[in-house]
Amino acid sequence: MQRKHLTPATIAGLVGISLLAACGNKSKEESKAQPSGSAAESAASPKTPGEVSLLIFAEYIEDKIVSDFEKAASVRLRITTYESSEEMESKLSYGGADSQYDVVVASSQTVPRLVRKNLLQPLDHAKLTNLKNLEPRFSGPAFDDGNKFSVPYQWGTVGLMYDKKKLPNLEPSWGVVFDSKKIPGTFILLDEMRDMLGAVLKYKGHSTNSTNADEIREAGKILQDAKSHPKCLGFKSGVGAVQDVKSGSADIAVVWNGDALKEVNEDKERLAYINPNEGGVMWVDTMVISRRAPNAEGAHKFINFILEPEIGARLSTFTQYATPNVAARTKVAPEDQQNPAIYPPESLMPRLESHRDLGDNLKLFDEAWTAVKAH
Amino acid sequence: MKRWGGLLQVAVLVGFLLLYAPLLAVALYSFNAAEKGSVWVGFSLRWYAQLMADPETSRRAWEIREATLNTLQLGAVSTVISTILGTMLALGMQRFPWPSSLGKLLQVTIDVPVITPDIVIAAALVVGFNLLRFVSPLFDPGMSAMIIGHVTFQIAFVALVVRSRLVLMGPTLSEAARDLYASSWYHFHRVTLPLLWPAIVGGAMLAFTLSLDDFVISFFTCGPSSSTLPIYVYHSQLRGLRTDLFAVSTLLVMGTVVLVLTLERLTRWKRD
Repeated sequence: MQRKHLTPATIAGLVGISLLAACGNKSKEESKAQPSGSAAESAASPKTPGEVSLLIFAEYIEDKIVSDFEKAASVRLRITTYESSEEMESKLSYGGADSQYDVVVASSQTVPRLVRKNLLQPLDHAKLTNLKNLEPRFSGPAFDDGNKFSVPYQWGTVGLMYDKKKLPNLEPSWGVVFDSKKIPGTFILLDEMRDMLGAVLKYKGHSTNSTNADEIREAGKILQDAKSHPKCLGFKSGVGAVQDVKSGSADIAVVWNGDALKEVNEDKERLAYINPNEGGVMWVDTMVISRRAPNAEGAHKFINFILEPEIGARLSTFTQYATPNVAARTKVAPEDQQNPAIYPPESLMPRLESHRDLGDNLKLFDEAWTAVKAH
Repeated sequence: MKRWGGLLQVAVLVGFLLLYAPLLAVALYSFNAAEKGSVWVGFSLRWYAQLMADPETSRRAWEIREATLNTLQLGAVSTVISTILGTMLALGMQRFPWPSSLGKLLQVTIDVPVITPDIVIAAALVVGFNLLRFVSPLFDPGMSAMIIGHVTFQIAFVALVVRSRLVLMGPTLSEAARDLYASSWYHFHRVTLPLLWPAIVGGAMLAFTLSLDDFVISFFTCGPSSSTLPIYVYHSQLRGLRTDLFAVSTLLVMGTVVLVLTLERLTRWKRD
């Protein structure tokens, strides 16, 4: 009979102990989260904030930059990654996450929408002493009303990564994935709405910021046809598609230039990246601060840190994307500076278009995209 | 019957193979020396060593450790809460003399969360929490919101398991206890609870497993510092499956097996 009483009590006890252990460990972790050895620094500035939370695209920041920032600002940088702009935006706007993340790296076309939803706070320029390092077209009135809410992080293009050994004479045109008569091998499309539909629109000679319902519907139709082509291997976000071309399971992939170049540099004999002649999308990713950021002070520090010439140069060398930072550009490795896949030649620039916020017309893109994905 | 014996054994073996072959593959590959991918390079224990590395110096070890602790904490807390609430719900539904139509309705209502797809519950939670967080920061994305989210779907499973046991038990023993002048409390903890105990433990184990497994609901309600292992694995796999993830999964599976065996031991009913 004794045992019968014991069983429930034992279990309750065990669960209790394990809970305590979990909580105990947790608080230990948290106290550990404060970088050790910063006692002197924290004594100098007694109100050292403990943590800066960063929401950023996957593999978009160098580990060394993270640890350098942690040392310089004596905080722990907590990184949450996302895989597509849409995921980030829905996370930020519907989950109440604007009180959770400090710095968010968001593509420039989403910024006006985030501002309209009241999810961002204006930047305090007094704390961003390195803002002067930006290229003119990314600062001042040319960009986001003088960087009122956003500071560019990196910029780049969308193009084709392919296997040179299998396709030695690939035509530098979007036709190799959109024109069923020209498709030379298996291919993967990019899982990013504006960038992918933008490429189709450019291929048909339209603007990537088109608000013409017929043009967008036609683009959706072309994409659907491409998707149902027997050689199409589906949609993937950048890195996955790059890996597939690298491993040989796909011949062509529509990707962001930096993701592709990281691998192309490893194996220049076999892999290549081109920006198609029709032109395409020129995207800019920006850093913004969410409205109820728990550590806005640290967020400003982070943005200012990224704007430092040395750091900006290292970041672009790591990501293989272009830096919006004039002061950093001269410090980037010379072979990167001259690489037309990173910094497109002047002749191509007029055919590259940046995304604009389309307001309600974005619906048209949403509809076309959903139809493609659901088809 | 005899001539089916051999076939039956084969069926059992195939069943077990289907269940455990993938787990074995994961365990095997956790000893692979390669950092990524499914090409066998050589035997190595470095991924396990790396998990034990000092979180101060190794960012990855820190992240994985935190995700593991979050997963266990979320599972444990939500299981305790949902087991208590679910058991109470089952008792209330079964023991109270509801009018039969209302009883039916209650039964259907309790089944709904079981069959609703996770994504629907997750979407509903996001909408609900979005309103509720004006009332309390508990509903901001993070551990507390995740616990509440998990409890909401776990309760239904616990209640389902406990209720079926209550139905099987029938009213006779309770009536006998009452006849012998057992007080309500005495009756509950000497008659009902011991008889119900296996079902409660079973429900709790089911709830805990569901919580460990859950991706969708955690994904929609987590904050920056409360990511769980499934979320961590999801975010990592798009850049190729890293071998250290296999090591974590292996440890997690082994941990679960040990836990289940221990619980089974502890709750085994001794008839004397």
